Amino acid sequence: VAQWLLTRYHNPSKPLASLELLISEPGVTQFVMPGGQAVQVDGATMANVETAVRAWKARGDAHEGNLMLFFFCGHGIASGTQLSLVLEDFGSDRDTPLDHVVDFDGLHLGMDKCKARQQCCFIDVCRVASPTLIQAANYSGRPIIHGSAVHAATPRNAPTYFSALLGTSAYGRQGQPSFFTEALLKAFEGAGADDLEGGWRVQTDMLNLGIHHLLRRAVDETAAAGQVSAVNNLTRFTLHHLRGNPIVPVEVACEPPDRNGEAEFRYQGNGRQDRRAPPRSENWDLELEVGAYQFTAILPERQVAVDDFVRPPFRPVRIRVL
Amino acid sequence: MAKLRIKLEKWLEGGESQVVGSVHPVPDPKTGMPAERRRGSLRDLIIPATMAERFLSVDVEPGRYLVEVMLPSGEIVSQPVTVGPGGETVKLRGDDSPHEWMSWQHLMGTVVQSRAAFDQITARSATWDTGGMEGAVWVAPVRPLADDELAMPRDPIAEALDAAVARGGSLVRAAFVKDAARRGHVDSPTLVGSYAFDRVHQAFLFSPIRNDKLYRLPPEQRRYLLVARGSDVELLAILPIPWQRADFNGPGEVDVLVRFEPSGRGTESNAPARLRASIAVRDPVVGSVIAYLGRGDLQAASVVLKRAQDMLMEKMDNAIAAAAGAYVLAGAWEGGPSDRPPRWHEWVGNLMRYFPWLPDGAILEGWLALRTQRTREDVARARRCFLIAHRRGLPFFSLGVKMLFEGLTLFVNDEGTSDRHGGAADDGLRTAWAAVRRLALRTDPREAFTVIRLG
Repeated sequence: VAQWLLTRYHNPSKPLASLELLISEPGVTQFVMPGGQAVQVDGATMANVETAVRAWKARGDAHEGNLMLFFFCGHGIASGTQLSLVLEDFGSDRDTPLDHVVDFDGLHLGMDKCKARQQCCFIDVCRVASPTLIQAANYSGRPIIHGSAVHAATPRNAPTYFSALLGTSAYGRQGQPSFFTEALLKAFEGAGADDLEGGWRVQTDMLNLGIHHLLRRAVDETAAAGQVSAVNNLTRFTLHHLRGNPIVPVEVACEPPDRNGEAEFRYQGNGRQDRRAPPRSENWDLELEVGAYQFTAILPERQVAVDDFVRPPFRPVRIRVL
Repeated sequence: MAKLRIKLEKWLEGGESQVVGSVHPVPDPKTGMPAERRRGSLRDLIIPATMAERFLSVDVEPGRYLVEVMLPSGEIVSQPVTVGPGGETVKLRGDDSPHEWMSWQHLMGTVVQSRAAFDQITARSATWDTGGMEGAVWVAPVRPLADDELAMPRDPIAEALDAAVARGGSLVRAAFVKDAARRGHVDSPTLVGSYAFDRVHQAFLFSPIRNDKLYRLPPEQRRYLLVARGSDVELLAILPIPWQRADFNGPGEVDVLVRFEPSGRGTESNAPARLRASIAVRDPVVGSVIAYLGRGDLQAASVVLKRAQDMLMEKMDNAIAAAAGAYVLAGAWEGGPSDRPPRWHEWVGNLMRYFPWLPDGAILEGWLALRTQRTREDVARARRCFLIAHRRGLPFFSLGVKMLFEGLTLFVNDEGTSDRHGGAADDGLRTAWAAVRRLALRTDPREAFTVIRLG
């Protein structure tokens, strides 16, 4: 995500002004910048996170037009409507373990004090219900920024994207981005885009749909099958401008789908073409640039072609072969 | 210009609904002609979901289009279409519901999308001993209007629930019955028979609306569904009945789907199964608003609400539906203290004043007071609203539980800095905050209506 922000993020009205990074991966103490320069990175301990979040909020206070992004990938403990984020030094004090978790809902509430009125959080953690929060008397961890009844004047747009529904796990993969993070980054390249304002831009509402479909595709046929993303407080605003055309997830299948195994699938259009030979019973997952395509299913007894148009967030192509 | 008529062809038992859709111009595949810019996309359309011959009709230039709808579940159904000078009709079709009686829950996204996926997930669940599972509806006493609501006792069901939860452990049905009765509960629980049951997939659909006795009671008497297995109560759900349809066509049905779901580590097959309850209102106007709201999609909810908001909130025939609308409007509102208040602010005030059995009105009024605050009195009023909401009982909407907890949290935080915002030292702020926190930790945020997990 940090690499993507440094190399791909593009928003002329809200250019990247700062990036604060903490990593708790064992053995990782450096981050290699796009130019090849290695920089030292601190661990995501409570003290470091607290310092970083306070500095982040202070930068957001500089102007109400600022856009704030918060990304957390790791472990979470949840119960009901409440979620806490587990930090590197969780468990370092057995008597007060929740002193090393962030009360995410408290932080989100507290960030309403920040002048920046566009705030977007991406939380890639398990949300499996834990008795820890219920058993902890009136304490869900440290919110870092405490909310106040004395509110900022203007309502904020502050959606939060979650990697999993409450009560379910979010899955990671060794040496690779987690399923949700992979879906998020891909959605930023196209599935989350809309041409609402002319050019292709990633809008918050379309991003939600893009993540939903990309995540479902990524976890299909894996141990993570069933992981479904969720969102809170979703309103519409622009996050990112695409420099080119969007890349869109496409799913090609026969109708009825039990003919998939006999079909040779082909597509052509936009200067591209490809084929998939039988026997493959699953749907054919593609990622295609926005545009017009012809999709064909070649069966033993006949060949059926359909003209279709691919655009974000997701295009299911069904070829009727009855 | 030509007429493009669109609908989502969807069987919904006993009715119809509405979803959000778009129409995008696309290049012609034969000529390769690019889509003309003057044929701009049409977004935020309200499209009927029905089996009837009812369509949304929009004027478009002849040409090629991609028509799509976004369901509350996040699913997208789309279809390319060529519109000639004489117009065109598009009937979009999504996945079928596993059962006709599950059709509303399926549209709302509370059951997995396809029959095949449903088979896959539920086959992993533990065996359901159908004989051990029961639903009972409880009725609370009428909560009268009062000059000083803070002097009134707290809703007895909420009080009994909180006492049980505060003790910890599982909630034993017999003890809860006794406690609720001691605190002034006035009616015996009514056993609710299962209205539909899928033996293979182990899912019940309760339809409390079919119980005449429950339906005839006035809305001031709140109804709760207790779902028990054996002697333990597992879930307590707030029932939004009686439900008056927002199009004034009489009573609307409300159904509750109860089924097993894997718990613990996600969907792993060895995890113990837990019960989940989902409430759907079969309302052609508000049903999908509530579904989008429950999914956190304020954008889509506000689109569907737009056409109905005046009708919904001016008449106040259905205060619960009006509260749903107000949550959407408040969540999507971008105004502030310096803006002229929109009309619905006044309606939220009416929800607070005229419906003392509805905590959600007080919660919304409290947040509006904070959002539009100009003086210390506004902040003090917000504090009072949150305390009143707490006394009124469990919010109908899970978003209300969250907003009430967050509202009280703000004042508890400020108390740490010795600012009581005009509240007295003994006004019960901390007690209310702790009770609402306990409630929030047991509320299922996937559901639009409040469902509390007790087991």
